[in-house]
Amino acid sequence: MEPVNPMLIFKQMDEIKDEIKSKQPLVGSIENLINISQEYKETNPIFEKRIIELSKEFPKVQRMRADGNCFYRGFFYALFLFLIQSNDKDSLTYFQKKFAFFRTKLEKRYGEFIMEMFCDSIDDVLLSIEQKTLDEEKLLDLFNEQMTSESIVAYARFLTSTYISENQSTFSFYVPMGMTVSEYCKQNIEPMEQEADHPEIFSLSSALLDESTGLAIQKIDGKVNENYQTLIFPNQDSNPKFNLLYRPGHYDILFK
Amino acid sequence: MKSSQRLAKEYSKIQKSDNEFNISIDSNNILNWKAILKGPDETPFKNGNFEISIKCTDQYPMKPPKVFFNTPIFHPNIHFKTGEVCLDVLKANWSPAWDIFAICRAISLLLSHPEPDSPLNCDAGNMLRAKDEMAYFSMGEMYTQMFAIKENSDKK
Repeated sequence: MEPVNPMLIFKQMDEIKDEIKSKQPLVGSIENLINISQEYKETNPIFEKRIIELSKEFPKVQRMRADGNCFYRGFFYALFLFLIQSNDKDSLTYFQKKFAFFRTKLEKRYGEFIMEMFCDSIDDVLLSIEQKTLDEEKLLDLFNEQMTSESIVAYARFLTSTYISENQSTFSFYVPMGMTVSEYCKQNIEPMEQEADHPEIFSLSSALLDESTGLAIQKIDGKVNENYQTLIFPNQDSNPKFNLLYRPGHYDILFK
Repeated sequence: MKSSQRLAKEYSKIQKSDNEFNISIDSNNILNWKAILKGPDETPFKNGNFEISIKCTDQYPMKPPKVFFNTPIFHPNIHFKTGEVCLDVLKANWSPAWDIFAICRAISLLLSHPEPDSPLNCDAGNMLRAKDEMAYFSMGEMYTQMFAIKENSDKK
């Protein structure tokens, strides 16, 4: 068989990405979750029913652009929003310490000079939360500003990759046969637009969150179990402070 | 931080090093870079100097730059006419942890490690796939001689 021209495949992939880009903001405005259920009316009545059920507990949703970065972007948006809304000094201090700790780690692993713009993008947000100059509206603007938003996503990816690399025994189970953990990170986590799956979610949550600040994922899929499923990270006993909606291949943020 | 700020920092860092790839920037546009890759030993490109241009966008380093060979080269993953380069880290495996220097190193490595299964130059790819090293070397050396060594011999 003649090999396919690889440039042609890349070109087609770029065209699909451009189409998504033109239709969806990086982070959308808050809307009713019921809107999403209606999209499944014709095509998937099981999903429709499950989303209606979920909307009783979480009536609002904030959509992320479906560009393969939705989990990472959603995670950080929801985390920063929690820090703004809770106005809790202890939580803010906890995260400032965490990020300072990881800054040193990331600089060591990737080089201080390479990490500067990514770590700065996180520190800038934390500083403006501390100084109370960042409200919900400004956070939304910031996350729709291409460079800042992508820097935060890149940071999330480097942190996830670093955590997995440092905890290989926990994660080697997820890595496909014939691939090293380092290869897995370089191909599946660090490149932008590579979707996050269970190991990435578990890793990022374990790196940043704890028992008192957890993440809940409300999962909707086509499986037989009656309703939506709730998964809590970093472990099942953590107290979730923010919620993500999972539909196959995509994450959005949920609100009570 | 904007792309231009980041690139300015990269350039000043390169200037402080031994700059093994002879990296330079377009004085009118910091997004456009040039480098000279030396043909590695034990390849058909030995003794050749290959100029590449590296074109970044305002989305660098989130998006990879486009890299072209200005000097024609007979290599399976480099288009002979357009100079386009097919390298996974410049496409799907690009990550913002890369910088211009690392790109030069990766392309330099590609010269000694061709990937004949995703060819932009089918002739070169087919020779390697057929394990016809002799043909690959003689064609490659001929073009290296023709395009990549000329300048040097003129000077001498």
